[in-house]
Amino acid sequence: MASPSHTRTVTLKSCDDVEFVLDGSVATLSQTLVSAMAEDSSSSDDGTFTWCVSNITGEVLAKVVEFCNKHADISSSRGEDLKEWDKAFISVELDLLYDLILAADNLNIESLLDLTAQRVADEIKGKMPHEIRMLFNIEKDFTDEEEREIRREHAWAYGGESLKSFL
Amino acid sequence: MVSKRTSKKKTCEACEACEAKLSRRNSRPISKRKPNELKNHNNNKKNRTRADWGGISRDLLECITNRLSLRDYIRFRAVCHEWSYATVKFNRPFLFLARKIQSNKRVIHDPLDRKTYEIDRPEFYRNYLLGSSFGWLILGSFERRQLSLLNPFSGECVVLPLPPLKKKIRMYEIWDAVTLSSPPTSPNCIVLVLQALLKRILYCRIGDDKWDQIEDELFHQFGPNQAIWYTGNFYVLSRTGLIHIDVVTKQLKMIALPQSLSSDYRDRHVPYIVESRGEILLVIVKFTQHFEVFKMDHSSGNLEWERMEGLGGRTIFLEHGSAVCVDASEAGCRGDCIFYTRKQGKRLWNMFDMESKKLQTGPTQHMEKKKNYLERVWCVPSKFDLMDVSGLIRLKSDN
Repeated sequence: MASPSHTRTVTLKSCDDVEFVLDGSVATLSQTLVSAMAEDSSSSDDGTFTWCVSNITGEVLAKVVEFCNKHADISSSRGEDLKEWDKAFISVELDLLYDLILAADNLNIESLLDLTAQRVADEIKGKMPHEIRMLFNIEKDFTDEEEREIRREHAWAYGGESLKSFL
Repeated sequence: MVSKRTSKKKTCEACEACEAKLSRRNSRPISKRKPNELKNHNNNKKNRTRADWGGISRDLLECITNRLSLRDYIRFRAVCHEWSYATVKFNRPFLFLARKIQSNKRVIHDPLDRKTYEIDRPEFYRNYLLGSSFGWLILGSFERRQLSLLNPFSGECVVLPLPPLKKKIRMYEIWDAVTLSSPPTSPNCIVLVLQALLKRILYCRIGDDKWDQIEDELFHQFGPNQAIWYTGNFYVLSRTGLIHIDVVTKQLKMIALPQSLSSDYRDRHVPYIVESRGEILLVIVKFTQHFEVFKMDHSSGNLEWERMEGLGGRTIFLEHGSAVCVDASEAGCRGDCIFYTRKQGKRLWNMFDMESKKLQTGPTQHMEKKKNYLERVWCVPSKFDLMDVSGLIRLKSDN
């Protein structure tokens, strides 16, 4: 019989075999882990549960665990301090941000998903399409005709007359 | 819209073509570049990402688009094919404004970046904006007889039966509050109309051809007059208190309001009710700049109003026909704040911060021939509605 999730310890194993031991209460931030633990009946009596995340590296998982530990700690998870902490936490390079948003989605951690998605939205804010492409290293794959159509529909969004250089 | 060509995910995994394009761009003399481009140039080395942002899943893209302003969402879709298909489900309210009713056009204001747009729907013609409920606008005809519901995000419209006439109704104050029990597209949606002057409420189900009514002296002629649906019953906020209405038994029950609300509150203390996370919140606006929030609590068996210091990460948008409360983290806006809209005054809205207890002024509205907006209604797209941004036109005049 599996013991309740919050009393167990959880071992998370990254794709490059780095292990992290989490408190059960910390692991409950991840809906993926919660359902995995609920389904798991084979668990040993000592209350440990191991979960392998096949597509997250140790470096990224370390950040995720850091985030969960902070957010599960009720004494510190209040008000302005946590907001400041989150702000510092998410000031990362875009590559790591990409890995974090995928990890948040994969492990289904809502608060981390909110934070990462907000950071991406903040990066996009106020930028023209070509600037967004440059920042996120995305190739423009529209045909000329499609591009004309896009411009025609919301010309005001791309800065009026000087469209050519903007889209 | 972009034509729906089957899009093959094209990504540049640090591809050479991109690199080449970028170096071509950067080889132009710096003086000829646009300021934004220049800024990027400086950051390029640091910010170049090798991750496959263009191939991110649709679900994740939706998490991002929900947090963008309308303008940024439109630009976002012009980035690449995959992103152009990204849908958006905004979870924050937009402010709908009207200056004249003899027009198909209304103004939609995005509080996130304080920009205003023009929205054109034939249903708006000769209709007043009375309020909103579950992402639907409540429209009342110029002749003051016909009520209809319009979903401004999806374009759906429902026309309600004509209300029964009673003696000689004066031409104004016919509808004081209108609310719904669920979106009109769901079965068993009930519409409730408060006609305070006639001291009665009318209600009907969508699809009915006539209204039921309850008349009672409890419905006070003068404001605040607001109605909401909460756990299976309607509540009407009246000068006399909060009236609980059971439409099945036609029973009315009076609920006292907090002591903090002075009994002679006309013009000075204005109460509002709003439903959120399975709670009824009562906001009292004192002298248009001080805000108190109470939570209805019936855990002890008796009904009490518990004063709240913060909103627990929520944001309230106040307006008589359409008070709404959203989770700030889902909406992408600032939490523990109250956006407050008044018909008088130069501002479209002001924002009260529950933490600092300070009122911040919002954007100024553009006065056309010294006339400000007659009607203001907050409306949050429901979870089922995708925002259709086609035909939106940016208005330069406001802000």
